[in-house]
Amino acid sequence: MDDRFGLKNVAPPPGGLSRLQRRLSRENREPVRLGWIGAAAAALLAVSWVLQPPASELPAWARDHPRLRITDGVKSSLTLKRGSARRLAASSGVTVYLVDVAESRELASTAGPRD
Amino acid sequence: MLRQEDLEALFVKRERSLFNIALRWTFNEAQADELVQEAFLKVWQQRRRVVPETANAYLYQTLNRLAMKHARRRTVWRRVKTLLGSGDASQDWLLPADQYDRVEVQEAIQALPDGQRAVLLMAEFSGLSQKEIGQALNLPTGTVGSRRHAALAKLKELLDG
Repeated sequence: MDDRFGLKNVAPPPGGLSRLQRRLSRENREPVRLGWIGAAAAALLAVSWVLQPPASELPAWARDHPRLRITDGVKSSLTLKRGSARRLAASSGVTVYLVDVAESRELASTAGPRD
Repeated sequence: MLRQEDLEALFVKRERSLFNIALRWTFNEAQADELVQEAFLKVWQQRRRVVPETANAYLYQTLNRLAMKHARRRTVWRRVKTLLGSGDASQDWLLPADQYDRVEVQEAIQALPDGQRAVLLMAEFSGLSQKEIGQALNLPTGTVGSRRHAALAKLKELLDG
């Protein structure tokens, strides 16, 4: 190894091969594997379920937009997918404003309409 | 088709190298170990399409893909934590320097663009030739050389600055 930058060659945790063998055994026991179409359908269902916000958690306008910007109302902001924005708005406990990325208008999510 | 004994032999030969690469993406030993396991499992799931001669390159390619995805996800969540003021994102990802790389080296590696970082880590830890690294990362051999050179120059700049 080239150690000009002091990169240490660290030993992995012991027992890696045994863990892999157990996983392979489980994998080999799987009687039915989803085909690509089944997997894609399952993924689509999961995504649509995650992205579908309960009506009470986001204002109506937000449901029309796949990406929303979350901002602290001062200067920091971050653009997220609608489902992630919804979860953050619901769980953060601080005042978070949801911003309509497409129309650059700010509407409140967690603290009522912004003045 | 790849047989289980081929995969296990590959694990014995490559685990340490892959773990060290994954560690420089995750900066977390448990997550690095999990990424290595996941990479082998994914190769196994594709065993009908993988021949032993190409398994090595496919393995590194898979690990890099998983590691980059992991790093991108973590970057987003660190920004979210900072934005919400719910955590101190500064250096919370670093490993203890007495057991791992120096803190400034960890920060410098993390500052490299993904493409340069992937090439540099493979060059440092895989023992593969530039041609083999190119096969694993789907890059021309010349690009591997130039990215490695650029990564080393940037690391030197970050560490000397």
